Amino acid sequence: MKSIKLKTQKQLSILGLAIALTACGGGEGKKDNGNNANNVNPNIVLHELSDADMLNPYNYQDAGAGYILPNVFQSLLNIDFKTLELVPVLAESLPELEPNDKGGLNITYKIRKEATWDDGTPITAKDVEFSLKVMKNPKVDNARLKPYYEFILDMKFYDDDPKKFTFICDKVYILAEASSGDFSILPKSTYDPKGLMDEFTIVQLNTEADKLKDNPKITEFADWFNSENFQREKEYIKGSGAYTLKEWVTGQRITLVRKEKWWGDNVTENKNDYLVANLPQITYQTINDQTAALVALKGEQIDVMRSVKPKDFSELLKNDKFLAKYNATTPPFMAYNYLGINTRLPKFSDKRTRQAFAHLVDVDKLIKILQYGYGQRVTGPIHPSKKKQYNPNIKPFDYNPERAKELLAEVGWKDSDGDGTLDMVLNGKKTDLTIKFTVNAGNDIRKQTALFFQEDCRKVGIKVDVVPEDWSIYIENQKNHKFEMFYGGWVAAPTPNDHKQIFHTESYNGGSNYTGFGNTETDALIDSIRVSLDEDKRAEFNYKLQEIMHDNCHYIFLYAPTERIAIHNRFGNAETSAMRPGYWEAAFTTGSATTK
Amino acid sequence: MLKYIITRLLIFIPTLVAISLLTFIISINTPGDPVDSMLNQSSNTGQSSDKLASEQAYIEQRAKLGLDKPLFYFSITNATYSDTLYRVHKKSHRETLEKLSFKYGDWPQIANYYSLIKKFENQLFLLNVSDDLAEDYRKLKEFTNSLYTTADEKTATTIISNIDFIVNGDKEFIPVRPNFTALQKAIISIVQNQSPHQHYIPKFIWYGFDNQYHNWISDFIVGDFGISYKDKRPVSSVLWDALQWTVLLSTLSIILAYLVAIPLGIKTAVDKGSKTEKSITATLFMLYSLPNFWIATLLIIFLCGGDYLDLFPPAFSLGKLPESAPFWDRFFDTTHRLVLPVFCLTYASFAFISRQMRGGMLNVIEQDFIRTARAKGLKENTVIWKHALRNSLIPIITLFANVFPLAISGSFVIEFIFSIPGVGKLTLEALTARNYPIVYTVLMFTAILTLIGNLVADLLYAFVDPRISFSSGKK
Repeated sequence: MKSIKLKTQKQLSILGLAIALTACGGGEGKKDNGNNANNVNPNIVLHELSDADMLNPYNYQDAGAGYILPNVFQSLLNIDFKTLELVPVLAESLPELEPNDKGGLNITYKIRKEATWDDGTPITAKDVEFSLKVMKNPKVDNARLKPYYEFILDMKFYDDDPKKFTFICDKVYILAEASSGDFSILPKSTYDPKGLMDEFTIVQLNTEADKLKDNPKITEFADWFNSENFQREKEYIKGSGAYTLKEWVTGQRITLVRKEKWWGDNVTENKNDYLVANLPQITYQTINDQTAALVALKGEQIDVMRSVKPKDFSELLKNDKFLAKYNATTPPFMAYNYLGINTRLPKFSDKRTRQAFAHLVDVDKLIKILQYGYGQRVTGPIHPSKKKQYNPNIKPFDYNPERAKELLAEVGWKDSDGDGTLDMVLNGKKTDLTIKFTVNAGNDIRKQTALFFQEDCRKVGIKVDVVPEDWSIYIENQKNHKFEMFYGGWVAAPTPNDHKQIFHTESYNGGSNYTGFGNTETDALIDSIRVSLDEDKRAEFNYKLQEIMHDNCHYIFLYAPTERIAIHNRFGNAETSAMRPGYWEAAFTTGSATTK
Repeated sequence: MLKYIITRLLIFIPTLVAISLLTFIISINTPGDPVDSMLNQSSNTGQSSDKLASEQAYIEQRAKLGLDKPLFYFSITNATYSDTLYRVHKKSHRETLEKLSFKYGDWPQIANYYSLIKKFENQLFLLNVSDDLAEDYRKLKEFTNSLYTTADEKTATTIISNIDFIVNGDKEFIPVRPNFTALQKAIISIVQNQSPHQHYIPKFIWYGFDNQYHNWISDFIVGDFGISYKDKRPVSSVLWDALQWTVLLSTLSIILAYLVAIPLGIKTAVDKGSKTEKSITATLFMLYSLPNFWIATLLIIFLCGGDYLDLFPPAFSLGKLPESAPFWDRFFDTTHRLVLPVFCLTYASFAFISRQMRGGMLNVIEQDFIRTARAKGLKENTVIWKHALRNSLIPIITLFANVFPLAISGSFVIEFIFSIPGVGKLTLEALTARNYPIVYTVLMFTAILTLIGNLVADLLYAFVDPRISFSSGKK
């Protein structure tokens, strides 16, 4: 197996060579797949690098499935594609939030009057209750999602309006509104025809989960719900969305078709893109190999490709034949890359040492050379497109080896033994300033970043060892704080940032605070951010937190990558945005098709 | 002959058990935590509720996968080793506890110490302290937590004295003091009563039949290969999907390889030294030395309708036509799409197989009976194809033994480049994701087929060469 792995790594470099060869070959004309203007193909084919794991909206794990599911299942709310604000989907409008006597929130929703299942029965509060019960069933295989809904303690119903209900939540939390509206609502008739979950209440599922684990009905339902049928069989995967599963050829493609009669067509008020479905058929085509996918794109075999490699994308932009057929866009990508430093190691414990490292990273060069310019410099964990929360006053560390030298000298690092590496006495022991820089094996951009850094450090007398590690070992070492410096990245959602998982000291053991950042002040800020529903107030805390992080320099923030998407130009209304995956295919239009 | 086959089949059983054990031991000892990689597959958004919840998820998932059970029927270790350690959920905690019990030799005390830390920590989390003590409170929690991963006496003492300082510093911490005193006492007693001589006392622990290995192998025998961690589908179903493509590809490739290589081998043996022989050999070696992933990528770029020629459809849309399409249409469509992958899988083996064939043939045609056949006045073709071929097949049969495992194991590189969802790709992905059920099953089947392949090869030896016989003794 080892040899296979070696081969793939080699393969990557050879792929690069092959791409370079193509580039030299230039774009000689060869064929005309002429699309007749009168006869526009309305069916769309989207590229995916790997097959989705399943289409069970509660149990899925991978991002690919998450992009397909909103076409089939709907939730109460979603994030608007263009404005990145919450918008109502199944709900009639955004919910009403009010504090309750338990110190938490009451979140009241009303479902749209037009909303029905495929058989014409209206979607009511009872369907929401059923879905929440499924979510909280202790045996359902959704360990990943379940904790996010623990904050909903109970539901309140209204006799006069079956479409109205209230979630009673335990605490005030910035993500409560978004979370309360973002789980898929399931039709009970398909998912629980035997009524196995009927006898349980939400309160019971919250408080007696351990006891209920052995309940035969809970188990029977969970086995039924976790089964392969609800993962990939079209007879079982049913939601209120505009599309249903037509075909799934494992490892090849997933095809969805538009329902002939869909409730969203009747909606007139408060309509948004999630209530529009223009395309008759959507196919998600798996092509594992980037080069093969690029060939398919040029040959018009696929209509949408995202995350094109920066180098390929910059070449596509020079290819006139390609530009005549495709729109190439670069929306922001809510993610950032950083170098994490283990602040609890004595040699890195002084923040000036870490700042010196930051002055040795030429971020602009990294963006230009490694990303071909597809990146945006960041100074903190909040993406610059979240304008209200992003602190624009922070000046990033400039590339300045001289300043780095000064800082290191200030701390006391000097080459006392003349071996070319800085050293100093720490806890009575002479310590060399060396850095073990870990990257996940196979990620070329990260490795090259490390090599640039290594070179710049060498010049000021810091010795850097670049160590590629297998992904799971790399992650495990971070969790156990067995690292000196690593290259990492976080992906965020367009919802408000909750920093607890990554930056709170409580997350040092068991969470993702790998670097050991934080003190009482930052913990207090993070806790306040979590409960500040008021945006201006939250911004104040976020500004302060970003300043501290920048100064503390436990992370050297590098850049937020820019997404690179190609969409065939026969589709209209195909803007791209920071909302993953970057486009909302169902709302695309084709020349002849009109929005109903 | 029959007796021989039966004996061989019986030897399969211990061999397979040994292989299964080896597979199991290797995968259990690979670094990385399958539960963790499962839970955090793609949830790198960094947003999760709080600590207790995610730990709960971890425990649940671990139990669901059966990883909270002992590994094997028994273990032979020293007397310090605990027989209940496997019940501790967190890998890092387990490691610390193992070190501690090894060092101090008294498991019950260590276990007591561990539960006291837990008790103390839980109580800390329930404490409500005023704002001006927030700093102390935070440090207290942090120190306590770091005890879980401290296996070194000196560090532990420092931590304990730090906690001591804070706990006794303010009256708001009074509620947690009793538990802390108990914790302190536990540490002192561990150090005082340490019994390192326990290392030298061997110990045998019997875990019974409810262990990971037993559960896996007994399910395996009855045909239940488990549930794939990644997509939670039954392994048999996942594997079946993948096998269809791999077997199709491999079979085509193997047939093609032998069909082309055997005649080429014979030709180069018969025409030894001629120009044809030299050019054939040179070409074959050139092909042999071209890496297939590179050729595959070049073929896709130049022949699949990108910027260049459009001779072949890209292989990735295998089975594009619906099931309802006429059989021959689907047949031709699939064949058309398989041309490039099959070619890439095959061309390198031309050189190898034909060289083996040539070697075998050269040996044979220099023998006396061939001269006799020629002297009898038989046609050259008859001499070669009827008399020499059968006797020169031995090296080919040896190669042929590998065909069986090869047919199911697939080629990761080709499958990846052409987006064919086959076994090679599946196995490699499973390996990197610690998806053990898939890895075990593929390895076991490969092992079984290797054994079968060897048996078939041995039988074929006897078939082509009457001098080899398995009946009784030497002949």
